[in-house]
Amino acid sequence: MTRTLWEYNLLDCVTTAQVYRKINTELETLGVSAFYHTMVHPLVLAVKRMGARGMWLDRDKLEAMRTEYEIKIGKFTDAIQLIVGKADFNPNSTADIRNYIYNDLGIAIVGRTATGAASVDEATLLKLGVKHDHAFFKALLGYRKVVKYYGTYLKRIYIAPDSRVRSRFLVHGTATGRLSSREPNFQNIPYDLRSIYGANEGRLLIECDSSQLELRLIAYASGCKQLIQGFEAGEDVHRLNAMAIYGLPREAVGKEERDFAKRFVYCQNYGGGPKKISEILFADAGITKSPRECEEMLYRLRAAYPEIWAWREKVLAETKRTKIIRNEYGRVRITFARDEALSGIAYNTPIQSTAADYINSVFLELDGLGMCLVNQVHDSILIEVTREQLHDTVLKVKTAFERPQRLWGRLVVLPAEIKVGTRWGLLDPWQE
Amino acid sequence: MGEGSPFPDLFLIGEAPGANEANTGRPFCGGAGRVLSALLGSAGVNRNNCFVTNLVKCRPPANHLGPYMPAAGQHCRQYLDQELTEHPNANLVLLGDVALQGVLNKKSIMKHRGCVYEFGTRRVMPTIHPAALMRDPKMWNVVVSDLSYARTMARHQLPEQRFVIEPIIGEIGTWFEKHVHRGKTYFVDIETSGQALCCIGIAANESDAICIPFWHRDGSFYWNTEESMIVVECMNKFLADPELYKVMQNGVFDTSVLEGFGFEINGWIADTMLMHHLAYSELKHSLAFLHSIYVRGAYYKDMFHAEKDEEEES
Repeated sequence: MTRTLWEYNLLDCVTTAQVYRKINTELETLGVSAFYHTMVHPLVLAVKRMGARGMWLDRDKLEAMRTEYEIKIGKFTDAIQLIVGKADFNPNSTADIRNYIYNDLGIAIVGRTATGAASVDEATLLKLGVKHDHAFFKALLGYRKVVKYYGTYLKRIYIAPDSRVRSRFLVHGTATGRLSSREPNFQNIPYDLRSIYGANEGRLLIECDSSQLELRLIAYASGCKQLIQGFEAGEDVHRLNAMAIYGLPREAVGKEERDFAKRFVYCQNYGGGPKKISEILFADAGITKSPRECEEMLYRLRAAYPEIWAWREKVLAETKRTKIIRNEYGRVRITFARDEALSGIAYNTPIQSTAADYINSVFLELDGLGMCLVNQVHDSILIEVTREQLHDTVLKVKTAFERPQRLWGRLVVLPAEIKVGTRWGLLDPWQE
Repeated sequence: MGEGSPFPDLFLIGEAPGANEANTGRPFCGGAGRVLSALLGSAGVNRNNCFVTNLVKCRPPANHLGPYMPAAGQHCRQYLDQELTEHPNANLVLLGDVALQGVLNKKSIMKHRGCVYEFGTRRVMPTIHPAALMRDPKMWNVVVSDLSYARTMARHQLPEQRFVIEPIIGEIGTWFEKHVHRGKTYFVDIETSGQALCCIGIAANESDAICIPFWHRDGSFYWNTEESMIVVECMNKFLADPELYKVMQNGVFDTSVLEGFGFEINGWIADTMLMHHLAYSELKHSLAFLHSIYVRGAYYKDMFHAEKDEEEES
């Protein structure tokens, strides 16, 4: 048996040799061989170092959060049982949920499982929640979210003896080049749980976040004059978006409209239609907007920023023709999606992939300076420093983030915001 | 029954007739047939130069063959054998799981897709059924590549394997002297069992490879104390030398394990998994998949499990 293992080992080695020769040629044909050696491979080494460092975790805070979440779960359970009117209703039981929705409430079945039973999965609950403004759906989705967070981020985490949690970051986990993270997913930790993590005693955390990165990149990619002017004049672009979505004058836009616009624009950036946007708004923020309302808002947004939609049509047509999308740093994505499923990929990839490789290039620069990088969450990078290193590191980080980039034929500066503190999620804006 | 050229370039075997096929008596004449023609066209194969048939000759009740296999396949085998006899030289392409099981007695088309096997005097390659591509076209280009390769698989020749397995201490030195030179690229892989590092494999090219064993799977150490010091030093020198370039598949795992055992790793210049991700981010990147695309030998990734199963059975 052992001999077979050794033979298997050598088959892996010679297979790797044969694969390497052929794939090397393919990378050269695609014109990404240099990109692999200057960006991807150095990145995997830097990311491996970051994964090995991990993030420091406050065990007392973790215990406190566990208790807090257990109380939350209890409260959600009570609320659901109150809405249903049954003290023995089990929110984990699909039979109980199915019976309540389809028998007690008499709602028509919208989907079925493989075995033919009426579906009660998250997608179905979202559809029903948007369609029927009933407190049960909001409460059940809230319950499921809290239970998931409790299990994933508070219970099933391994804390090493040095009080650090180590995640596995992957450079090949997404199609766009963004890093992904597993076991636990450091990029998806809910905001209220981030304060569990922080800097080791006597040290500080620096978080540098590229401000409104994807929206800026959309503006530059499409040449949207109004947005570019807004960004370059330092205007609050979410307010501009709210004016467009609601058709309101500047002074009539309040915080609620601004926050909604921020969320709405984020949803539609990924090519989601009115129905999809309506579901995401409900799932993420419990906001009930009908697909019709979303469609009207999309219409007004399109009228305000015609360049963006013109650009989208252009990239979609090009992607349908070539099935290749190239970002501003040279990465390619060859897509195998059907034409009818291509819009999201065609709109999203040039933006998200360019954002990813911009952040990756900054990440590599900071790693090259020997900084103690501990996390990368999409457009932001977290660094642990001593108090003595703080000032110098902040300057270097800001310089790296704000180094002019040549994107879509323009030289642009992508501004970054810096926060400093001891606990992630409770960091304060950096002040000289 | 099947139809096509009397002297086909390829002999394609599908599953069973669908509604259109049952009505017309012709294989692959409905939607899946149109997809097959398109795939063959993209692969540079003229369907008129192929022979196309099904393993099972009758349409199964409710178009669901599962409950009737393998009996239906065995029953219809006589007809397929007759068709094969009439087309003695054509290489075979098996479309989907049913044909794979019926002809090669292997399971899982996703494992065996793209691999080349011997079948008597013929070569045979399994690939995905066109109907599956109608549901999910992600593998479309992969199947085109399979069909394109199938045309030439008669000439398929794997590199000769000059493997050094279970070396004595002197063989390691001889192999290193012959094959290891600064500035060259090596292909490195490790095998682990639990916490133990079973072996480190090094290939100098597509044929010459040596396995440096450490532990037997029964827990016994391969070398005596004196030998082990020589081997570890030799590996240390090889792995730490930045001018001996290393290529790995999922090297993050291998380098982390090796570093955990105290080896220093330098000269890791490329990773086939990441290279493939850069070119084809939407496809799989496992070595098994890469083997099925770029190497095309028989599927070997289950050889260890297959032997384990045989041992358990005996």
